[in-house]
Amino acid sequence: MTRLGALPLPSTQRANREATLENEQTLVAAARAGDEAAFEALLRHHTPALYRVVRRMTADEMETEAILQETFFRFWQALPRYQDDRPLFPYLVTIAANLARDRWRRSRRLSDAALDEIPEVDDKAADLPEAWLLRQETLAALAAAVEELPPPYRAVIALRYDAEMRYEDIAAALDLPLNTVRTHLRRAKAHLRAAIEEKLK
Amino acid sequence: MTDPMDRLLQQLPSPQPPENLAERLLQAVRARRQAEKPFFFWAGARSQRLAAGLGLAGLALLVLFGLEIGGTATGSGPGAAVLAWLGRLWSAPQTALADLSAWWSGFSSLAATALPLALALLALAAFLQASCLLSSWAETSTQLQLQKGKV
Repeated sequence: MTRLGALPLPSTQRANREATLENEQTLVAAARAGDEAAFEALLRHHTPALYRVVRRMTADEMETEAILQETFFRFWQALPRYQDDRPLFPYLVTIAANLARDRWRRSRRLSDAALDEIPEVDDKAADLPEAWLLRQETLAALAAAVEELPPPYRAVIALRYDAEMRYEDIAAALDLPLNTVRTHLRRAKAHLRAAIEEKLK
Repeated sequence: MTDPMDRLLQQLPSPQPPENLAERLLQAVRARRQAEKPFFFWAGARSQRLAAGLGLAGLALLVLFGLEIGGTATGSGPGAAVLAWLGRLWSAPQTALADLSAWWSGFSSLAATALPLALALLALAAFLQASCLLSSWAETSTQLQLQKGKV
């Protein structure tokens, strides 16, 4: 669809492009050997993209920063046994997602049981009108609607669209069954669709 | 992803990180690293390599010592001599120790230096290896969680 070409670059593509670091393996190896500058370079490189994913998942700025700090600290702890032949960004996202999930569970803001109390939305509703896809108002409404989603739904949205992770990886990161991830995503999109329709009608 | 909602979500503007976020994170992580660094932290991979090197050097010196014994031994081999001496140590300790002293003074300077040096190197290697194990043990909980994906 060329009509979408006028819209800003998708967040997923931006995040992944920033997460690509040619000498990442070298930096990880150096950081493991105690090279402070290498660790700093990795942290500086991955912070913006990781921030975007975590900020989407969490409720506020302070919580985001706390999770990021803990994520990088745990990465440092794991360095001696980290396998540097795999990309670092998904690994960091997995740590951050686990931390975010633990925070929801600790704060009991929304348990899995509480999710069932959310009113069901018809997820077989008609597609959004094509014209809406071109409107910046739609994106603004969507961003606001995502903020209002329950944390587990926000998490799957962030991991799927900001971190561009596969369903299997999302399930592993959030310690959820694969079908639950699919259900969360389907329900989240149904809620978002309903919210946008409500705001734009 | 042909669903319009998928396309919209892909176009969703990303939250922008605040200024100096990386700097703040770096300082915070550094502070925690300093605060929570385990006592045996520095016994890391380099210490393990050093331990392996020292262990090999110690073994080499032990071999050298054995060759020296073999070269000077008459009749039975060094193993049999050691067993015989252990038997004497059990039955007549004072005589056995006197034999050991006489045996030791009869060695060449090379063998007399090689044995204590070999034992010292092996002891140092064992200490470093133990430090590495302690270092690993200190992080076992975290690593297990990482392996299980429950960080």
